Amino acid sequence: MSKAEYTCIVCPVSCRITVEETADGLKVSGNVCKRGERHAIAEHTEPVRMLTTTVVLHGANINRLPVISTAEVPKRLLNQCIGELYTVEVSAPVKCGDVIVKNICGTGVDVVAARSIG
Amino acid sequence: MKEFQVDVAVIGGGPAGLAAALEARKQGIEKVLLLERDTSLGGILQQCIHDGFGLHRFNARLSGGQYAQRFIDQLDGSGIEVKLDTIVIDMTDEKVIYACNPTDGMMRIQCGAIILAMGCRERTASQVLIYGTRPAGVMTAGAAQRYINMEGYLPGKNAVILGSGDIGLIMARRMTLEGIKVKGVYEVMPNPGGLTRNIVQCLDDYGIPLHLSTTVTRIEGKERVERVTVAKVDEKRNVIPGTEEVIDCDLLVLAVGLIPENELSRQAHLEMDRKTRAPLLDNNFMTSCPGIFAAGNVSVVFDLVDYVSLSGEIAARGAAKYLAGKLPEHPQYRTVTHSDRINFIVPQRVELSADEDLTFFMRVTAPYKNARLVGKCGETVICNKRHQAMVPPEMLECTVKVAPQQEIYFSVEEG
Amino acid sequence: MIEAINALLRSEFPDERITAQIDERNIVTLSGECSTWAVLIQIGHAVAKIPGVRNVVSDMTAKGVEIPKKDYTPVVEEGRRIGEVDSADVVIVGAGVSGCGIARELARYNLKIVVVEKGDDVASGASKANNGDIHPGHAVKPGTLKAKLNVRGNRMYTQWAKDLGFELQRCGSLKVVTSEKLVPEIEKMYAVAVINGVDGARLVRGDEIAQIEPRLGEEMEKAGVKPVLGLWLPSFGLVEPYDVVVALAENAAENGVHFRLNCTVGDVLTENGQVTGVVTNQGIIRAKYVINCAGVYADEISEMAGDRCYTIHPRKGTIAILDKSAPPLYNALAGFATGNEVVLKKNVESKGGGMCRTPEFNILLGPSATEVPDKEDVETTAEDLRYAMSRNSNPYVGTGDIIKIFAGSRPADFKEDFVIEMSDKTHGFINVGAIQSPGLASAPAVAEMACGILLGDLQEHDAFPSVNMNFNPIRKRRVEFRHMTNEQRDELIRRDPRYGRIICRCEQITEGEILDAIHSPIVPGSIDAIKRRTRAGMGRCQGGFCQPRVLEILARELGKDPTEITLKGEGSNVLLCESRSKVNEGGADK
Repeated sequence: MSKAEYTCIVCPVSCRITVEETADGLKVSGNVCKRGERHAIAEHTEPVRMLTTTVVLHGANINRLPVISTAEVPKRLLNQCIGELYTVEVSAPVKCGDVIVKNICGTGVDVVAARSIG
Repeated sequence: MKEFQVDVAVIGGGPAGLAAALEARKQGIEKVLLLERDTSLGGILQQCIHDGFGLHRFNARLSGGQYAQRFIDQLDGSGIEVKLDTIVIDMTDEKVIYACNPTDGMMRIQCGAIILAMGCRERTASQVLIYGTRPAGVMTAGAAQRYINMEGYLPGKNAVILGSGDIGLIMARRMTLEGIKVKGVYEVMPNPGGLTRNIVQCLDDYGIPLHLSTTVTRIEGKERVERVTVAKVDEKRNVIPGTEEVIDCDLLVLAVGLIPENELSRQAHLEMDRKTRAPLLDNNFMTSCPGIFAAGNVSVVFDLVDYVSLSGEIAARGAAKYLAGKLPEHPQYRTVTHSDRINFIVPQRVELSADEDLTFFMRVTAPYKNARLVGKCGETVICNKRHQAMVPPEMLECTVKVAPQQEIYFSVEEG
Repeated sequence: MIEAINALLRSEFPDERITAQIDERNIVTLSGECSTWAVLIQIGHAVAKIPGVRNVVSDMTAKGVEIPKKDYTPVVEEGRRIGEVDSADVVIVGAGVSGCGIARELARYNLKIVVVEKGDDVASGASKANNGDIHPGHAVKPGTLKAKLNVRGNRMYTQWAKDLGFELQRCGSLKVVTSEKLVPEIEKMYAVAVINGVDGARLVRGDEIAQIEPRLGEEMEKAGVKPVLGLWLPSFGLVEPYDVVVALAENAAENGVHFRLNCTVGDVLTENGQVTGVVTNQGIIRAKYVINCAGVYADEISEMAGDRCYTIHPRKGTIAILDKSAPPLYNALAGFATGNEVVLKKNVESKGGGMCRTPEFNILLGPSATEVPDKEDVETTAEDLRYAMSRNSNPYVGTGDIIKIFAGSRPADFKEDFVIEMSDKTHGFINVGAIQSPGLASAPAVAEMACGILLGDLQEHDAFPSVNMNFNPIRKRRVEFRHMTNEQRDELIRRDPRYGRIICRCEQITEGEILDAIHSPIVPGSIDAIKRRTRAGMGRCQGGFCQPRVLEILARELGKDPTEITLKGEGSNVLLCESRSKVNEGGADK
């Protein structure tokens, strides 16, 4: 059965939490609180991350537009999402919140402009 | 030369200045002028494209631009006058500002009150005494961030990062996502300078090693960086001979600390605090010159933008009180004292007539587990808050009611 | 004389196997392996001191020390492939303060002058990395060429500054001793000043000291000491050294001198003992005269011309610049010695510099003086910085105030004097070599002397040139926003709004000033070249804030892509490529 260790990020204590896959399900140790346990289980089963990067921007005094996902996306899909965003080009004006890519990589999450330009 | 008169001038349109200007209007101040040297508002937030801003204030994980936008959107119809592309050249203790921009030329602005919100600046390679050559490819994290996030250029292919503060960690991830190989993050101190969340999500997620008690000692390369030498250091930060290692790279990114921007403060002869390298402040975030206030990273380098905004609002409320004549003409102060475990507390002093809830920001000297932040006013305990962990990178915020006629003392206690 | 040399080598350096040869000109060539680099330098100096020795050429090596030798083959091959591109009366090799000074002086005559410089800008060698002191001439050995040219050069700076529009501050130098036992030292210095003919030198006492520099009195009182005797040298001055060179070069260019930057000389052409031109990476340039102002490489250029008559041993100097918020205590170069100072291990020939200030009131410490085998070695080291910081006598500042550490290399020969002469092997080849400290202070006199040699030779050959009636000695000082009154600034911005946009906030440098620098006679192509002309990036953030903006302006004005802009010349590009471009393969897909 596999065993993995995670650094908890829910508070400054930064517990090193061990998640062990046992016959009775996941066994979590090393945490000092319930939130830590939930975090470790999430990290173990399907870790998620916010997606932030830029896309090529035309017609403005800067060349890149910052973008952000509207919710967290599975960590395993991050590279794929970033790869898709690196082919996107937009033109000013853009408003903060404008959808740049809808349902990116089938995650159900949109990627939106993170600032207004022009 | 154009002459203006305003009630409050806010210098700097970043998070502190935006919050201060908006709060000043909310407090009913008539003429609020916001001066920003860039051609757009938001300050350094505009190049911070990562998320994590606004957790306290908006209970959301916004990117820098989104956080700024929430304030910028409120400016419309607020009656605040904004001057972009405008830089303040001089400030006097008579609250006169000399500023210029391409359209107005030189301006002399007589202010009722001034809120300093110019932010901070990055320390450089010479300031941390890195020896060797002086090639292209050595830059601060902020400069690298601007090139990559706003201008869309890559300053190197193989990077070494010195400094594990949050900016260094964030840039490790950003550069990796842009195809730059980050060979490692090196930190001279025995503990990371940034938040655990950033170590996990910016380094661990991408397999970037973090080397503690290690520093860059030498840069090589004539035109561009070709390699750097890193070495372990002892507790006194002296290089341990024999631990040197040479790393091939073409980019050295420095995230070696921030220093409050206080050129103007010195011009106006404001009393400075050696610890925070910023003006000495009172409970209204007012400096030693009555009517001149400081907010955000001018007052102390904060960890969270939420606190930056909060400090802007405290300063703006202070400015409103000052303009309304509610502050004593000759303020008398009680200095806030603290134990060795606390590195500094801002504000450093409290005016004796203060009777409202006051907010203090502080950093601990070293990490402490299962400890309590205890605040006392005379014998009265005004704060006794248990923290499972306190670490130097995370600022502690504490809003309490004090009786400044008595001694104010903060300490970190075990258990 | 060879006996004297061999006797010295046997008695002073019995363990070293060095052989000496002497030619008909009394130039001594030393060869063999020394035990260390320091010993090699000692031997060279000792032999050069023997009476009658004109100079020393070193073929010596040192055990375990690699002495890098520049390979000029690619330069020569490239130059020969391109072929003849230009012909001139005079080719000047090197655009430092000597080369540019000579070029500007010769521009008074109708001569075709080409300056070739291997760097991307003028002042890219020793002329940019020194402390900017215009020494009075009290510290040089009487009777040397240095002594003569230093005192005269110092005097001539007033006219240079006036004509060329650069800042010269004759703040004077005041050295005070507070103990009787140090009086002889001051007297010795004064005596040398008198012998060398230093302008205005005099001994001062008591109240006079306080009058010259009131703060010095206060500081002595704080230290609990009283002044005993002082030496006042009112002719001591300060400049920004690159300002001087840029001003000279611009004025020379305006008067018809042609500058070729990024142009390395690989060979000097001669025919029957007469110089005929140079081979450079930009092609062959024919010339009647070649003036060698190549700094640390001067010995190599001279060798190319068939005249190996001295060896340059680079002496590195590290300088620390402090923040303006840690200002100097005194306006003059002033200080007092109590006799209790830590005595530093001094380099025999050059003790290195002390503490002074820049014309912009930054404290400047150093330079150190370290003999190094590599001419390209301008690395800073902890040891050299320790030396520089040990020169700090201001109790209110320290290492925490450093904003920049840099190093340069002094082109020293073993005679430790300037070599300014027509070659007696190759006619038309003029050496202006070994111009180390006080080379900056001596520069006007060096230029005058070198021109004199050239003009004298022309006269001898009945070819004295006609005078250039269009010569304009005046170069207008550029706009300096930071030094203006607010009213002047306002007027300036109305005239051109671009002066209303500050690009470098530390030094208050405007976009207008950067544009002035870009559109000047010697186009600065790199970020450092802009820095030297405008000060943008010279403040406490060292370009952290303004570098991206300067880069953008440079790209825009020069019509280049941002990735083409360099920090300091070829190969030092700041940005490698556009992100998301094909060059940047990989992206997120690791």
